[in-house]
Amino acid sequence: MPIWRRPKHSGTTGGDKSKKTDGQPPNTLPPSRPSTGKSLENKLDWFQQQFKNCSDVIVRQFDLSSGQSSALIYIRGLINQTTAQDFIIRSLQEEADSLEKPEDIYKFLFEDKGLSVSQNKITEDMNEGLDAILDAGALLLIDGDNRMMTFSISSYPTRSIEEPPNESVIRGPRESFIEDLEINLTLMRRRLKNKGFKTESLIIGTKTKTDIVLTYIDGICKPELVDEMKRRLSYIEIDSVLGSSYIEESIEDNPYSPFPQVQYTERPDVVAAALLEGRLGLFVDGTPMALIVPVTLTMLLQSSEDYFQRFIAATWIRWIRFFFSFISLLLPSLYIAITTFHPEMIPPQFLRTIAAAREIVPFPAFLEAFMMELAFEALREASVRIPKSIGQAVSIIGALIIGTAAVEAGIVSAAMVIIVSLTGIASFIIPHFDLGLSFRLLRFPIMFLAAMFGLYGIACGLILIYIHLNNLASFGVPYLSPVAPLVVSDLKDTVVRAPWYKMHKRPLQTAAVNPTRQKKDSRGWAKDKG
Amino acid sequence: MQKSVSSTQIFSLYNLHIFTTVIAFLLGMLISSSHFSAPVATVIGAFLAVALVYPSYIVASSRPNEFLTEFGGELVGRGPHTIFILIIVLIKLLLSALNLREMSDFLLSIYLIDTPSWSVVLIFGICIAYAVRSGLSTIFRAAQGIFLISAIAFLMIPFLAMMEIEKDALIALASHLHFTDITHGVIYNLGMFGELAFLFLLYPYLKEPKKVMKTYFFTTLSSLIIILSHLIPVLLTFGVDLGSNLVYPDLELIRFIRAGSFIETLDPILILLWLTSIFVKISFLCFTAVICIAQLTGVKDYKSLSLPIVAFVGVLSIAMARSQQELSNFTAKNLSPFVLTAEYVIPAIYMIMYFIRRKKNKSKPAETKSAGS
Repeated sequence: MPIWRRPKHSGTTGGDKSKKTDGQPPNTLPPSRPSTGKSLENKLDWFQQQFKNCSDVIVRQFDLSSGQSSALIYIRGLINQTTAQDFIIRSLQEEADSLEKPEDIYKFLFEDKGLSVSQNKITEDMNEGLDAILDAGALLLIDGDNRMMTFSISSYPTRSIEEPPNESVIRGPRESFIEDLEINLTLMRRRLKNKGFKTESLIIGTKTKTDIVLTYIDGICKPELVDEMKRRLSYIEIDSVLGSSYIEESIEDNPYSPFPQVQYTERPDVVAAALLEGRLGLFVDGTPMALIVPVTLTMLLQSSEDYFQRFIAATWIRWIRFFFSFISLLLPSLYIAITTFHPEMIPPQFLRTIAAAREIVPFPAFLEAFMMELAFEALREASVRIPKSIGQAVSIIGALIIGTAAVEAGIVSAAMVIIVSLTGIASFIIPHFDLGLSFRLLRFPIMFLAAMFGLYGIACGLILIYIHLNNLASFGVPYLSPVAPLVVSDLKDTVVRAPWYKMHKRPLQTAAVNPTRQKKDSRGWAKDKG
Repeated sequence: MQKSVSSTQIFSLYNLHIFTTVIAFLLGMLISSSHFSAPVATVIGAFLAVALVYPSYIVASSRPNEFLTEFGGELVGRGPHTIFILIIVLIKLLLSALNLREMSDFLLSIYLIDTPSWSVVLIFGICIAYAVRSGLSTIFRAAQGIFLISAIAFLMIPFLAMMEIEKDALIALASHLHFTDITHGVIYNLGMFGELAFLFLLYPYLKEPKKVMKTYFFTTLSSLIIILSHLIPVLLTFGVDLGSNLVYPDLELIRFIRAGSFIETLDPILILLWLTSIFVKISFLCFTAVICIAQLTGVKDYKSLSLPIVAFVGVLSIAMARSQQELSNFTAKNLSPFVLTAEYVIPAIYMIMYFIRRKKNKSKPAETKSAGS
C-alpha cells in the first residue's frame, strides 16, 4: 500500500508527530519504535546495526563545548557536505560555546530551532530518522535527548535539462523532463503559475520507496477523476518502482489490450496542456517521463508540434498522420489481398509489372510479406539496441545491401521492398511510440487474415479491432471519443486543429467542470477596426 | 440500467440498418416487384412504416425504464406475452441468419470462389459474437463511428456512376406508375423500414426515449434519400428487365465506375462498406434476441448467451436454404407476413391492451368512489 507523504519541507511539523497532511488517507501502519533511550551511544549502535556493511553511510561524531557528544549521519554523495559542515556542525559548535547548560542547547536546537538550515524536522522515531537518511537527508543526534533533527539538504548529481530526444519540435519549447522529480515539478510550476496546480505526493515501493507525485489543476479536473486515480494507486503494493511503466500497467483499465491507455511524454508543455484540459499528470521519481490520463486514440495521434505550427499546416499534417497510421497498419495486408484475391482492382499495365516482378519469387505474397516485415522488425530492434557508432553501418547493411541482394536473388520482389519500406516509414509518423508498436503488432494477424480471405479478411480484422477500441476506456473516457460517442464540440481539436482563437471550450469529455477556456473573442480587434 | 444510447446513435444505427441491406441485396427484388413504381413505393412504404411503428413507441414509452419483456405480461397476460416475445426473437434470429447468408453468398459467388462457406460465416460470426458480448452501447457507438463515412461513400457512388445513366428514362418514374406494383413495393418496404419497431424492446437503454419518434422520422428520411440515390440510378442504368434479373444490381453499377488509372474498379472497396454496415445490423439483431431470451429465461448475465446464439445464427444461415434461388424465393414470397406480424401486429396488440387496461384502471377508482358514497 502506498504511503501518502506529508509535505516534505513544511517546517512546522517539528515535534508534532500526530499531525497528518490534510486530505491524505492514513493508510500506513504506525512504524514500530525501537526504544534506545536518550543515550547517543545506544542510538548510534542502533543506526550502525541498521547500516551494517554500508560503506557509504557516514557517521560524523563531534563534541560540543558543553561536554555533550553529538553525531550527524548521512549517506556520502547524497547531501550537500558544505551545508552540513558550515550550517549544522560548525553552527552548533559555535552556539554551544555560548551556552553552558545542556538544557539550553536542547532548547536552542529543538524549541527555538536555532540552526539556520530551514528544511528541518524534529522526530523521536528512529525509523523516521532512518528514512530521512535514506531519502538523501542528514540526521542530527545529541546525547541526553530523545529528539533528533532531520535535514533535507540533498545534493546529488543530476542530468541537465536537455532537448527532448523523442518529441522534438521546430517551433515549440525545447525543455524536457529529467530523472529528478523536484526539477520536473519546477518545470511544471514555471508553466502553471496558478494556485490551483496541485501536487499530491506519495511513496510506492517497499524497497525503493519511490516518490510519486499526482498533479492536476483544481477547478478544472473532475474531483472524481482524482479520487479514482488515488483509489487505483492505493492498490499498488510492490517492492520496487524503477520506472513509470510499473505504475502504468497497474492503473490502466484494460492491461491486456494492445493499445496504450496511458499517455507518456517527456515534454513539460504537453503535461501542462493536458492538465489545462482537466487531465491528470503523474510523475515518478527516476523517470524522465510523465504519465497522463485519461487518454483517447486521437490524443495519441496528436503531436505537440500541432499546437505550435499554423493551424492550417497543423491540420494538414494531422490528416497525413491519420492516413499513414492506416498505411502502417494495412499496407502489407492490402498488397497481399489485392495481388492474391482482387487483381481486377489494379490497372492491367501495373498488374503486368507486379506479375513480372513476382514471377521469379518462389514464395506466396503472404510469406514474402511476412519474411520482409519480420526482417524489418529485426533491423529496427537492432538499430535501437546496438551502439550508435555502428548503428548506421548496420542500417546500411540491412536496408540497402541485404534488400538489394534479396531482390536480385529473386527471394523477394521489388514491389514488396517498396511496400515494407513505406510501412516502416509510416509507422515512424505515429507520434506515440506505444501506439506505433500496437499497429506494428496488429499488422501481422491482419496480414494472415488478408492471405486467407482477401479484403473480406481485412474487413473482419478491422471490425474486431474497431469493436475492441469501442470497448476501451481510459479512466472512464471512451477511447474513441469524440468520434464514438460523438462529441461535436470536441472535434475542433481532433479532425482538425482549430485556430486558438476559436477554441473557446476545453474538451467536454475531461473538463466538463470548467469548460470555458477563453470568454472573449481574441480576434475582436479585427471587427472593431472601423 | 445504464442509459447510454443517444438519439444520434439511434439515427446512425438505424440508417445503416435500413439502407445497407436494401441497397446491397434487395434492390433487384424491389425492382422485380415494383418496376418503375419502385421509388414511389419506397417513399410511401417508408413514411407508412413510421406511422405504423407508433404503437410500439406508445407501449414502450409508457414505461421507459422497464423492458417490455419484463412488463409485457401485465398487459397481455403471461402466456400470450411469452409467445409474442418468442415470435419476435425467432424473427430476429431469422433476419440475422438471412442477412448473414446473403452476405456470405455474395462473397462466395463474387470474391471468394471455392472458399468453404462455413469459414466465411465463422470469421464473421466471431466479430458478431464479440460485439454482442460487448453490449448495446458498444454496438451503437460502433454504428455512430462509421455512419458518416458509410453515408458519404454511399452518396458518392451514384455521382460517380452518373455518366452511365439514361436520363431520358427519368420520365418513366412518373409515367409508369401502377397501383399493383406500388402495393407490392409498399409491403416490401414496410418490412424493411418497420424494423425501427424493434427498438421498443430496449427503451431502458435510451437516454432520450421521448425523442424516439422524431429520431424515427429523420432516420427514415435520410435512409430514404440514400436508398433512392441508388435505386433510381440502377433503374435508369439497367432498366426494369435487367435490373430485376441482376442479383446485385448496385454492385454492377459500381463496376461501371473507373476511378482513373490507379484503381481499376471500386467494387472490392464497396464490400468493406457493406460489411461494416451489415455487421452492425446483424450485431444489433442478435443482441436484441439475446437480451430477450436472457430476460425470458431469467438469465442474469446475457453475455453467456451471446456465443451460443450467434453460433445458432451461423448454423441457421448455412442450413436455411440449399441455393441462392431458394433463399431469394423465401425472401420475396414467404418472409413478409412473419416480419410484418413481428413489427406491427404484435406491438399493436400490446398497445390495444395497454389502452384497455389504462381505461380500466381509471374507471376502477371512480367505481370505488361511487360505491363508497
